[in-house]
Amino acid sequence: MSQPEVQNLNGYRFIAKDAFLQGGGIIDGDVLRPDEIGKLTPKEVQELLIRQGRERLPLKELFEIEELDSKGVLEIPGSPRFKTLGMKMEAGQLVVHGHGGGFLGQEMKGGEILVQGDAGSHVGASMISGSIRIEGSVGDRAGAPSGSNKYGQNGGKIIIEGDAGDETGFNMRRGLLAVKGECGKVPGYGLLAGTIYIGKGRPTLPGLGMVRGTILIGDKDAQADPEADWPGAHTNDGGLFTANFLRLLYRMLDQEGCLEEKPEVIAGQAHRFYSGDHLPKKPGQPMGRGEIIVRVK
Amino acid sequence: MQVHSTPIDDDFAEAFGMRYVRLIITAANPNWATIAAREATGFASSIIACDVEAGIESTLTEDQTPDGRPGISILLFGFTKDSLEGSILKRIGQCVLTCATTAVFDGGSSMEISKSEHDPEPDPQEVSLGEKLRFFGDGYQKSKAFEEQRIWRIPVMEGEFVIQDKTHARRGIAGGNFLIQSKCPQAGLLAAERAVEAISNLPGVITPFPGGIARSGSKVGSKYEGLKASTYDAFCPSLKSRVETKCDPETQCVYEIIINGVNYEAVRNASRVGIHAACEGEGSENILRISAGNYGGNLGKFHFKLHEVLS
Repeated sequence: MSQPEVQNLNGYRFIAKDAFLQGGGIIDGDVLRPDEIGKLTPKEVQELLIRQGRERLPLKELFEIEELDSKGVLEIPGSPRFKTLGMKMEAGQLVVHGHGGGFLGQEMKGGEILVQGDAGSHVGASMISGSIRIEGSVGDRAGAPSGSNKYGQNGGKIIIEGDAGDETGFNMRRGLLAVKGECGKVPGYGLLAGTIYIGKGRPTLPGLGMVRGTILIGDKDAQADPEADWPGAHTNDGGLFTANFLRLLYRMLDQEGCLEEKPEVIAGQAHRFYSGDHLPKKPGQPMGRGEIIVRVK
Repeated sequence: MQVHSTPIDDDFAEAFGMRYVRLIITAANPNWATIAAREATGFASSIIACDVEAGIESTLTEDQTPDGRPGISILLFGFTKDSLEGSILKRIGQCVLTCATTAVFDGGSSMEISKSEHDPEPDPQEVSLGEKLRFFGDGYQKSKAFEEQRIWRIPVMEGEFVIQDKTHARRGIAGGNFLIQSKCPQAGLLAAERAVEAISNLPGVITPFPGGIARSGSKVGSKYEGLKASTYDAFCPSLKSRVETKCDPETQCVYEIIINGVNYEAVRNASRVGIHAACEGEGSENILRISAGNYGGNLGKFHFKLHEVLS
């Protein structure tokens, strides 16, 4: 959907009613797409059905609906009960005031999602394009495959300003997944391609089973002891590393607000390079095409 | 018409439509960026015998380049997208890939100046850049996508050579020109140098000849079979008595400034700025007249009438 087409979309703000605040069960968020809701009149929006628990309710029972001047924008209250908010959305902006729920932006194809709070697991699962920004932390498997999909994040950007859970970027294939805080275990598990940035901490077994792609670890203390068995036996130490491409990468991260220092300064500092995964897989399969780049003191 | 008391001929420069590519070369410092840019734009004065016409467009500061390093913007002109692609592959491969600390990016269509109704449609066509050069990496090359842009990281002995996957060939104009006729060679050279210096600060244009100045303008064809071009006898002072000359009776030296640009307005503006610079300064009293080179108006699509350029 082109920008002029987005300008034709209506903007709405949903305000939580008691039935939403006090209700129970999962809420299927896949109908809450700014590019679909924006095509509807206020009356049509009110009558649109959404599943909460076992019930299918018109939106007007859960939310008060206000029209916005901003075109293509959908503002909604958050809840951890949401599932698949913004699923397959192609354009517009979805703003979640609160928790974004699980499988947020699954298979998303365009537009933006902004979550002013935390989100559950599988954020951006199998997303194709667009951008997701989480101002809080997220659960496990951000950018991982959704359902029966083979690939995880396949393009676009996921920016997490807090921490992320285990197996972040599992089977990710393309795009940028940036975590400003720490990641749980095995980030980049089975990474096929794309870039994962981890701003803080020293995650366990990063890039285990990775095929290609880049994991950039920005914490200067992550590599406090170069002799330690870290990142793990699946990697080979390539020694200190300087490369112009780090400037591009850090500049992009800076534009996304992921850095606390100037990108040129960080890019010019020492980094250590590890190739991986080097553990035997299928016979004849090339190994070590992935990279883990660690900022060092 | 006169500019600072120098007469301006009522004539026109005849220019041609060509495709151009803009590349940004960055390096660890301005010196290496300049070295790479000069190498990449060498042997590229005229399409008569060179594969491209090329030159340095502008010097870029750290905040104007994709990787935040000092850079140089170069323009390369060729007749077709395919011819440009082949030339760029060789030039970047041999002159920039090999040059210390450099990286290469698509210069895009930024830095364009205002357009006019004479402009050709830019009609951008994709041109391979790193897409083909990556094979130098022998399988160890890596690609990385930044937003919509893909770059290649080619391992080299120094570290890595970064080059953007693709660039674009757009329609531009080549062969805008004016000629400086002077009473003495020294004054003519000074005037030509002033013109080139003034044009070098302008966006969207290059002066592809050595030092920006052509001392041997050419006409189409020759008495010798197979020669595409030969000396522009009408502007050769030593032939004044033998041919139908366009030289002033007192002319001893003629220098030509040839301008290629990204659009009509860029070439027009550069011509105007260059002529003014040539006619004002040390020795300008020896500049006899400003002329223009053309082929009768039948070959080139773009005509820059000197009086209109300066009006």
